[in-house]
Amino acid sequence: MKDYIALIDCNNFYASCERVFDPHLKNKPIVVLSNNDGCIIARSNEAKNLGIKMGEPYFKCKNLIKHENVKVFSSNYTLYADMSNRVMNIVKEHFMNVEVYSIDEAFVSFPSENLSEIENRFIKLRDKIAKWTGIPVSIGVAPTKTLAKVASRIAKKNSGVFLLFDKTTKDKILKELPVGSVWGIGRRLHKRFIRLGISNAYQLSIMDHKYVKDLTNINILRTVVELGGIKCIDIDSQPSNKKQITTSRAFGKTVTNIKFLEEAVSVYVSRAAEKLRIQNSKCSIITVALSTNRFDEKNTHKFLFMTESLESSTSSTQKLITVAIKLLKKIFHEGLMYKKAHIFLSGLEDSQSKQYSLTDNMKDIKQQDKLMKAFDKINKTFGSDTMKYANTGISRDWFMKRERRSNRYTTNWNEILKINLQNDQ
Amino acid sequence: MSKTSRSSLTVLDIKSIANKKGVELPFFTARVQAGFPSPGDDYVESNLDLNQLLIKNPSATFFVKVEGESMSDAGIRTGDTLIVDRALEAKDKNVVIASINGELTVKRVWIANGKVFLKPENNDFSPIEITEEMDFDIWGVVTYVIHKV
Repeated sequence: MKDYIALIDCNNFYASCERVFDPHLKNKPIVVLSNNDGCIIARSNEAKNLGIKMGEPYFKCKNLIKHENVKVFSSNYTLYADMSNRVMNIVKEHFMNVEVYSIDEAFVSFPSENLSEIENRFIKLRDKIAKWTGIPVSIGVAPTKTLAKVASRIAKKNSGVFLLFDKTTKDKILKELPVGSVWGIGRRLHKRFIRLGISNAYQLSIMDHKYVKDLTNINILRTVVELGGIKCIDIDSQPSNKKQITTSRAFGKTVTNIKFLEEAVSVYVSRAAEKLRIQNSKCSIITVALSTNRFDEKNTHKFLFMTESLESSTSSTQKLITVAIKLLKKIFHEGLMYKKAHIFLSGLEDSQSKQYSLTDNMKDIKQQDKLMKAFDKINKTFGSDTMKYANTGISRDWFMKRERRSNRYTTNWNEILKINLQNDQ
Repeated sequence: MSKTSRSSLTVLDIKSIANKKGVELPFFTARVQAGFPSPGDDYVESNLDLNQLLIKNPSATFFVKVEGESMSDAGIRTGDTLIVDRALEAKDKNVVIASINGELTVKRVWIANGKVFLKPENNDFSPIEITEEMDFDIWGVVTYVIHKV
């Protein structure tokens, strides 16, 4: 028996999360800004219809936003992540094989059955997610992941569930789909296909397999085969641990002072080390990078970085901060206006299966592990940053701008939804 | 090997041996204590968990803080925290979070003579009849009130 694939995709996810906690926002245009309130990263349908573009810098559309009374939010990832978990947990209650593909999308695979039964089943799931969490979802069902992705686009337009199995319907839809909108076809490949006269997904789906493979690579061949209805990309229900951990964020304002950079780098290392410990890994390579403002027209954009291999892999915040600060001092140049700092941790290995060398100081390693465990437990119980390293700064006045963040309604007792009954008649 | 023997001659290492002894002390006390097992040990299961008692559908459960007295006769007072389960179907006489024309409120659902009312629980306030023209939604059903005594 064959398995079918469904993609459950949240509609305008960030905007929808904001709407759950403020019904006034229903049918109103909403945009969500990136970290630092720089660019538009999410739009409600109403905002899309106003012509506000994805990724557009906020200052460029400020007038339109004001004129059209668009509600603007700073990104509230704490809230979005929690709402995402709720949606994904409901999906996991109904399906064994679930791949959480991103914060707002999940693939599921299930044994094939009667199509009308499938449709009913997913309509019920869509309604349940909407009722339980307030988040609207679209669901595309098809024989392959690539086609499920196409089906979910159609589902989004008629806000519901769409099954893509009938060949005539499929060919018609693929002919209308630009080749660049196919899952897995990036911008560069898109241009190449256009030059070859392949402009829609249907043309891509009937390309000669050997020719595709010679022209590109095995991954693109898989996409082509999947468009033809034959499955070759599996559901990955147990995503492996990350191979690299990155913390990279822009500052609230440009920074020239090394003291501030030390604070920022320490904070980013703390975050990265926390992520490392959550997945039970240790790292053996650390890279610190600084960059200047990309949008500054007077000065050229600079990206400075340096990497160091550690003698013994670690997940200790303290050890990583020490190395990071040393690297920072080496790459720092007086007189540049820094806008962003990046930390990359790589050479990751599992804490449990790690082999220690004879020269490793086991007592020290065990002490560090114990300390970090206590550290994480305190921050988990009393809120993040209850306990922190002094290098991470007390003032943090370089910290991100998030002027319009909504409350963290589901994760912080001081910010839960408030209802005022005072005005009742 | 040579590394260990060389370093064991330094003052630092003597210190660390002294340290080790200090750590071992409570270990001995623990062993003494273990000699008298509590007769209750076999009956320990786990701590009582309020989530288990109060939350049936975690993915659908939200907390809401209330200001105002219009629900005081239902035991909902200013400053109280409500547990709201969106998974439940609202029925007659349930206390619900509802949105009327975009405004969220807490009321009791009251169905009479084929009409739906949202009823406050305080005589100083009057019920609201839900009509076709209203933009009306049930946001969730209130299941518990957390009230500081």
